Amino acid sequence: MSSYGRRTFIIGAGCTAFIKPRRQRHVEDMGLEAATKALLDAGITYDAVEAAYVGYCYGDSTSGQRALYSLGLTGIPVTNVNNNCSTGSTALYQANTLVKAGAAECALALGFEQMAPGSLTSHWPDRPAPGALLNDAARVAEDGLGAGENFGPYAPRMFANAAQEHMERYGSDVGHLAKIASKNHRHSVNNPYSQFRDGWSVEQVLGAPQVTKQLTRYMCSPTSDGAACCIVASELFVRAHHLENQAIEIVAQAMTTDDPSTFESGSAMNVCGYNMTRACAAKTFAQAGFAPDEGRDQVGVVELHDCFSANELITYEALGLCAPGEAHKMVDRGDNTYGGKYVINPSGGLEAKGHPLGATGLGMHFYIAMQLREWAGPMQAPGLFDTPDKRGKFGLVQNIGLGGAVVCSLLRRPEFFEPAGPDGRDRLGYNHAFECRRVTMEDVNKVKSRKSSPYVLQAARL
Amino acid sequence: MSARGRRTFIVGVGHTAFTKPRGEKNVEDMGLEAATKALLDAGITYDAIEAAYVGYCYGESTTGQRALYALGLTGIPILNVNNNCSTGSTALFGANNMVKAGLVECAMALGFEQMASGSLKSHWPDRPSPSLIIGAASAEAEEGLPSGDNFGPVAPRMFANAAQEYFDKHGGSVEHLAKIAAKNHKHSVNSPYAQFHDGWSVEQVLGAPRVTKQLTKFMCAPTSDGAACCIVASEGFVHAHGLENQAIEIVSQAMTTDDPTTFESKSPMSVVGYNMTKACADKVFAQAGFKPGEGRDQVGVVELHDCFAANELITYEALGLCATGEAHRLVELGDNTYGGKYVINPSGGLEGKGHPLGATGLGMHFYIAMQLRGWAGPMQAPGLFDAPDRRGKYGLVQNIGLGGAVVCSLLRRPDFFQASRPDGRDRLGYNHAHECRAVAAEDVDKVKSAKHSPSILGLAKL
Repeated sequence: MSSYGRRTFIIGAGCTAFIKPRRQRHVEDMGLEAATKALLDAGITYDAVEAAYVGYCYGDSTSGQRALYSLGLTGIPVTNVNNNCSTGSTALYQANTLVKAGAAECALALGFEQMAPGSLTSHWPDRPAPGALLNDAARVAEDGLGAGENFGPYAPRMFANAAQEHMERYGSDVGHLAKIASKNHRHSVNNPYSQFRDGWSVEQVLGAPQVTKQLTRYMCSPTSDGAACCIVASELFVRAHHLENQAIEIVAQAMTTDDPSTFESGSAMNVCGYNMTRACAAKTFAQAGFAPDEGRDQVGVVELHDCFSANELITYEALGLCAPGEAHKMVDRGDNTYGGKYVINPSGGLEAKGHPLGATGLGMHFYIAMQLREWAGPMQAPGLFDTPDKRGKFGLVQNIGLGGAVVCSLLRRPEFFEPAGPDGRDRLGYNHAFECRRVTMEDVNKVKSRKSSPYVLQAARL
Repeated sequence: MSARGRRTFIVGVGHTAFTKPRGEKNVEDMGLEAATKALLDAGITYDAIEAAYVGYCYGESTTGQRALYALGLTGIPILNVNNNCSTGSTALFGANNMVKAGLVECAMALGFEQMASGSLKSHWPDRPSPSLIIGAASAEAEEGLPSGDNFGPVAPRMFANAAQEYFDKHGGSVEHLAKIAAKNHKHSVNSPYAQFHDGWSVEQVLGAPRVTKQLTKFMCAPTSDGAACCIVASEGFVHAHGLENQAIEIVSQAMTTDDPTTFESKSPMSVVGYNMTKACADKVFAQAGFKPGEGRDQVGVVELHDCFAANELITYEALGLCATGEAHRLVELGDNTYGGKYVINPSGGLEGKGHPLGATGLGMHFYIAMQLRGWAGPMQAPGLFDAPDRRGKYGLVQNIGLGGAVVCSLLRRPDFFQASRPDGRDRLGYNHAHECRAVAAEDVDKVKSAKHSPSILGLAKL
């Protein structure tokens, strides 16, 4: 795919709390909250949105419309999308490409999920699951490892085997997984949106119940309910709406799917999409103008897909943040947290903040946008703008769903960024980067379309 | 959304038989069949595809990848999309936009469905269905009808009420619905892909078991299993691959969602998307360069969404094929079949050929493309090219899903169309416009990517 097209910017972002699934909130209400916050943040109404992409894995078709219709029935194209755990960034990818291509000035990407507690299972018992293919490949890969038969539910087991492969090839160990998990849990203490804020230590992580041979419970992301929303716009739109004080550029973005090595290589790391991430990162950095393998030093802050700390470990390498085989050394050096080379998962990552499948990828972009705006308060990565170039360092997002697809984004302050005048924090009335509040009907009324339906809106439960 | 962008063309199409749901074929195998046929038709391999949109309503996320990976693991973006009954054309809308915008030269839209038999119902009992609110609006609208309470399952009942509203306002009766149904069933006798080949007469339609006050069973689309595929490409691609003998231009295409009347008007016709279709049709004719209300005379052949004969009746009007209140006259004049002004649903429509949700919209474009190529054999609408303009008449597609979304397309032979051999019929070895055959392993071998996985392909059941 060609990478040409206009510049695009995230101009508004909103997130709900990610919570343990208790069926307390419906996706249409969580979606309404996230979208309302994003619109308030951007200082626009729903009338400015020309197309919407709504990502979720569980639920009947047209759940996207059900959520957005509370904001208005403006007749715009609305498409429901999914790609397992990379659903949220799949929605953003579409919104972004539409604006990039000049087909719209402003597009909205919304993602939400209402999940069942416990491990992921198939909801379609009457047919073979698409994941059956991957399970077969995972079995073959497990047989190739030196640790013998593993145990545990299929998702953590696959990623645990990927970590096992890394340990056997490069000498990392479970201690590194625990350090990653503990680092994420420590980060989450600063994040009011986060499902967990326990800040578990390495010892506590290691002492938690064993899920597989390698992973304990605190190294695993939970299932969650939640929603997140990003609004993408053109430069014209940014200028017209005076959003130079908060627009964050999507400098580059790519989506990749599996190559044959996922199924043919016998490697547990590839079964978990290591090569898919590597190819996506390569594409993304190339799109941003870097020569192969370059550009990683210009990244300051990262949100990546730690569904299990095992995946965070191997993803450092897949993204090129370190050389192959060096990921555990990066952990030991502390180059994945405050004071180190990169701050990785300042939000607490999936392990701590939760993982509502449709929302996660959009949440990642929310957090990175806030970092690059420098609104992130206690989560703020320091030194992002102690650079000769006023645009500062890049933010990097990596979101993966097995089955599968990876989306990577490189975000950065645009050269015209100028923190002056009222911004989203004033419009919301608080800094939603690190304060989590619900929305009220008053908020919705500020952003809803002129073509709204009282009949639909009266059903909303904020 | 802006309508500007490059010209785009459907260059390859494929279709499986639509069958009563018996769970005999998996979606990945049906998808492989449809996609293989489309690639053969276009004379390209899967390596030429730069992005894919896969539409289906029922099944786990990444079922799209599961189907396409049999053709290759080329790493291209793959998005799973849905919009209830307009899922198939939603996938095409995505693919078309990518090519139109200049982001790719060639994109694939695949759609499939494996359904349960019987009426549509929610698959997610643990949460309110997104269609609850439209169901409530429908119930309120029904109260406004002088004919009193209706009966029957939700979906046919909603559409039956719309027909009833039409009768109350304009005249016409259940006889007209029966004529529409019988017309579609007569058409389907000529389509080997169709689920039904019974060719029921008006009397037989009226004598079938009653489903609502207005509709009998033979006026209702069945549930079905099946798949369909369309490949969209740029003009540059058409010329580079010598496809001037079969490329059909997507002159214009639009997607609309509901406006407030769906919920606020208490009109049964509006509840089932009459206004949504009208807005969409107005958009596509405008995009094609026509003044408001104009252009319908230049249409020769139509595939529209007769989920129930009731919807076909009101859709004639919504599309502007007749004036308000004249839909039943159009039926009486025979202007919806061979020998009349338009041939509507030469395929047999949803009533005659079936309705696998994810495939239907793509199937419609398959049939219209074949009509405009002049390949449709016994289904061929006559006189499409007895016109001063060598491009001949337009084909019109309308695909609607409640919840909701409508996609309309205006297709036409391009100015450079030049019939010549060999074309897709030679590559497949038969005229797949009106002959339905399975694909063989040799067919898949001709079109699969160089980057394929033998272990995945080995699982395919053709």
